Amino acid sequence: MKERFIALLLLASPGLARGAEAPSLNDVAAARGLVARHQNGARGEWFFPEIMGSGAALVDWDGDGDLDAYLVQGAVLSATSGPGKWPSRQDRLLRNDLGAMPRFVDATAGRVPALPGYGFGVAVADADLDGDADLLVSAFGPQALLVNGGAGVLIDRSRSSGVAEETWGVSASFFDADRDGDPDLGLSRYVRFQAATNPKCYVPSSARDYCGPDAFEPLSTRFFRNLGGGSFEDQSGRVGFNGASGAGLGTVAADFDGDGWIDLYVANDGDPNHLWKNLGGQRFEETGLFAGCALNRLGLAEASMGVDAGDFDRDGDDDLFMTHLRGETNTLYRAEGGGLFEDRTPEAGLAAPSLPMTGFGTLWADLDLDGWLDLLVTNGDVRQADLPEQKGDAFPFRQPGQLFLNRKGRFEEVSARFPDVAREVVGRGAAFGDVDGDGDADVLLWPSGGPAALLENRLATGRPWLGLRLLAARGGWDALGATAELATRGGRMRRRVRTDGSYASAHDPRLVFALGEAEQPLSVSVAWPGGQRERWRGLEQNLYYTLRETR
Amino acid sequence: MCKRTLGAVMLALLVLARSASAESVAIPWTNLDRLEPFVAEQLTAARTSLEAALERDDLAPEQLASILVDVGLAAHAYGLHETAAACYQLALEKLADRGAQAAPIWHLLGLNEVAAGRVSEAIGAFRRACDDAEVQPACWLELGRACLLVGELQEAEKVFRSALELDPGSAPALEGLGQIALARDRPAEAVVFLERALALVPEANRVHYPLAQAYRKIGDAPAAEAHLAKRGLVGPKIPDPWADRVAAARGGERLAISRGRLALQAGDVASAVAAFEEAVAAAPKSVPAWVNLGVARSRAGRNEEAIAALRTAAGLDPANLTAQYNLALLLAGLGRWNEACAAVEAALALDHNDPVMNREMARCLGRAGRTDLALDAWQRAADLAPETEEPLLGKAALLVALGRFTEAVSVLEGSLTFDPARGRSAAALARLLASCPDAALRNGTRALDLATRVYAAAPTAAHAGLLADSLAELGRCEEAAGWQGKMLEVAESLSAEQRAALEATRARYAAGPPCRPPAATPPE
Repeated sequence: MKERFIALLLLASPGLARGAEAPSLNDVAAARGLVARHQNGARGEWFFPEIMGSGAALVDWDGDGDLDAYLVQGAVLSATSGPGKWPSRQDRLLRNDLGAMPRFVDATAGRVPALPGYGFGVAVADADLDGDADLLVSAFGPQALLVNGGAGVLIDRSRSSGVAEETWGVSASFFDADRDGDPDLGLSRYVRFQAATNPKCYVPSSARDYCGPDAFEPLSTRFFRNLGGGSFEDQSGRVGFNGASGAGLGTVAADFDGDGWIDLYVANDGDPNHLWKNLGGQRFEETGLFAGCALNRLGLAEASMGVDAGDFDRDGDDDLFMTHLRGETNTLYRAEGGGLFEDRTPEAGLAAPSLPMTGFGTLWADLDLDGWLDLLVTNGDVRQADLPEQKGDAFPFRQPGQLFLNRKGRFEEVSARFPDVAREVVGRGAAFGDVDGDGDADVLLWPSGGPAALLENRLATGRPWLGLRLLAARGGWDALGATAELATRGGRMRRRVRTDGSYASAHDPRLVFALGEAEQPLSVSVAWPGGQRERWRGLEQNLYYTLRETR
Repeated sequence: MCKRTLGAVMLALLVLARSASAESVAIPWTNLDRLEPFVAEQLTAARTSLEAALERDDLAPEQLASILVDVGLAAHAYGLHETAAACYQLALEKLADRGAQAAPIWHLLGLNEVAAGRVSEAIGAFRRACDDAEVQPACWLELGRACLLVGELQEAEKVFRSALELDPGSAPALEGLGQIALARDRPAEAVVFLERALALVPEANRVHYPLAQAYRKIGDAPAAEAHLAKRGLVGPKIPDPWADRVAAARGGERLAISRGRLALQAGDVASAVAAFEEAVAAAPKSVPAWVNLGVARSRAGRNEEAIAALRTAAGLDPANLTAQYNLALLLAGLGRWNEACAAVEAALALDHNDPVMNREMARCLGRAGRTDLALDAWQRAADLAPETEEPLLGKAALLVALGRFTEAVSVLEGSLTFDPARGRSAAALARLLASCPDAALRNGTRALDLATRVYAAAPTAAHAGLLADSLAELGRCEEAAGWQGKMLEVAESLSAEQRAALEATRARYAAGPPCRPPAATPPE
């Protein structure tokens, strides 16, 4: 392992000072200018996509060091919507001009092209390795690759990029599958829905309702290999992804079995989830069933919308958390080592609170900076519930969000203390990132048919932290899949660089460590996706550092 | 509420004694206009009856409780959980000091709360129900499952053991105890409980999954894999007459269809057929009901009845793609090609982009000798569903049959380029390259490579034969004879004629060079 003293490569930015204040997680979207409303396009035709979208991204699109917001829009579908006849939509881009506080300005016009289809998800990486953030925007319609032109303009390179398949794409994960230094792409696809043959479905009361995935043929996940220069090739069949299909929604990429190759986990709605084990970069094998993360402990496939991976119990490996339908519990798959998992949902205190909820976006982040990953879940139903308070609502799917604080491996629901978390919305996309640069994760919510919410994190006032941005040697952009470990008195604290996870959304790639238990002087070891390890010493608290991989 | 139950409510209203006081509790109701008329009528009648009863001041508490339970059951059956909970709770209020009568209502409330996702409330209700022997062991088993769901392992174990004492053959109790042992990291103990549960109810194939987890945890990977291969969706059923009452209160076409679909998904074909028969009885002109009945009957092997049901559906709505599609597939599967092709044409007229119907159309055209059109249809099916292997195999088979071997090789190579793991394409190409009638196209080296890979993936008799042919093409006759012998050893259910032909080939290979294999048969 190489050892480096930070004085040699310090690229730090100071965090903002904070005074003492009561813990809060308040929605400041309107106050910060983040004003946008999702269009779900529902017009009483019960088209399935209307109930499933959309996602959002927190991404430093303009490279000025703060997080901007990209919001994926829905569209109005009709019976003729389909190949060659997609409705047009306009996604939104809100630029953050961070001063003492974030200030968002609508930067859509002239910078974001109108796109065809009903928008679903967004994934972020430097796809063409030119040093800035590019976006994969999935849709019920053609998938789009928006390449960052460097002058604040997103250029639609969908056709030449090789990703523009007309299908129902949902979540995507960029990850360097073959360790060649550029990000490849995994894209979950949902079901083969055709607006022209929209079937009728009903809730148990016999009222008309949206159909579920079981009314349609499930699709398989796509794998696009990065050929360089923002060009991709669909190699789904070649790598083995066509060997199993499932109604795919959430995705998350991580090295789940610790063999040095990044695997891909796909949450399938009503079908067994897939864990695609990476066999050296050229082939994948679906191992979810034996690995114990395909079904819940009873042996049942669940609805599986959002998913996130993180080391919630600080034992050095990535565990999985996923959100499900009302009547099912959300599920925590604890990693047991070697790529094996066990459903430990009730033992972690996460079963009962989730039963009445239909969860979508979910995030594992140390929101209160106590060193343990907390959970935020944004909920919103997909089936009409018999809820008297929503009687007469044309879109009666609102549910409260939930916040669970991690008490050393067991979770405590504290939603009631945070009214803006518990506010009822039709929760879908959720992205996290340090929007105000104060060292903790804020949360962007993008509910179906609702206004964007920005939950400003004030849970960790005064607690020391360390922020890291890990940059790969090749291309110099965020080293997705790299992990950093901080030595603490209470054992290892490990974080992984990612922008994927949650539901159809993309996050801040920077890592934040709580320093309450950290050993002094601060020492961080980094495992890069290529297998190299490096250690940095001499870091100081309450700063963001940029650490570059050396070759 | 079924008509019989509703009748009982009306009768109860007619014979009420004049003793109860008026009631002002508001019971929440959903908008009944949204519901299927059959269901809305039932619920409206129940609601009207209840409101009339609540306004009267001459009803005994137990009479009012009885009406509330009946209305609660109807709401519960249709998933109106808020309404059901309010009815049950009000009934319990009426029976405050009559514990024995209240126990079944607590149990029903518990079932309703589980369905509504309020598991803590459900646990409280089941605990109250279990105070009385009348609802045991059902309430113990339901309570145990609810406790398991929230990690209350101690209480779950206690009630499952109580249920097991009452009924030592209780598969749900054994399954629950197995789950508890797994949660406590005692996999060997879990294996014992879960194996016992499966031995009692072998059709409860869901139990194979926790059993596999337990075997995996004790390090027995082969046993884990074996159980994973057998896993399904059917769990041990709790014998619960109160839950049965809820189910019996459901009526109407839509719900019967939903029930049938769930049963079909779980592999319970007999229940699915019964549910869809209920649906067509409730709505004889319902196309979805007839289509589902047709599909379920075909799964049950009742093909003539299935065809009749699907023809009924297609007759009711000739523009129903699902009816035509399923009819076409069923008839094609039975080899009734004339009828099948008519149904395929009808389906394609409704959706010319359906990949499966294009595939079937290719077969129809091929059988009719319209081969150029058939080739186009195979290609169209392949283009519409590039992830499926079958259309390209079909196209290659037809090209071979037409003697267009170069094109057949090209099609199969294309299939393997799309997905190198396609075993059937690899096998078909190996066969063609080893034994193509056009000797110039033969390529023993490539054939052997493909055959070796497909045999490694699936060591079947047919694949052993491929290895034999490939080796023979390369002139390695002795090895070819060995593999041909292996094929004969492994092959099952061969006719005497087939066996004789294969023996003759082996003998030819064994005789030494030249031993090039006979011409290929089409890959399908």
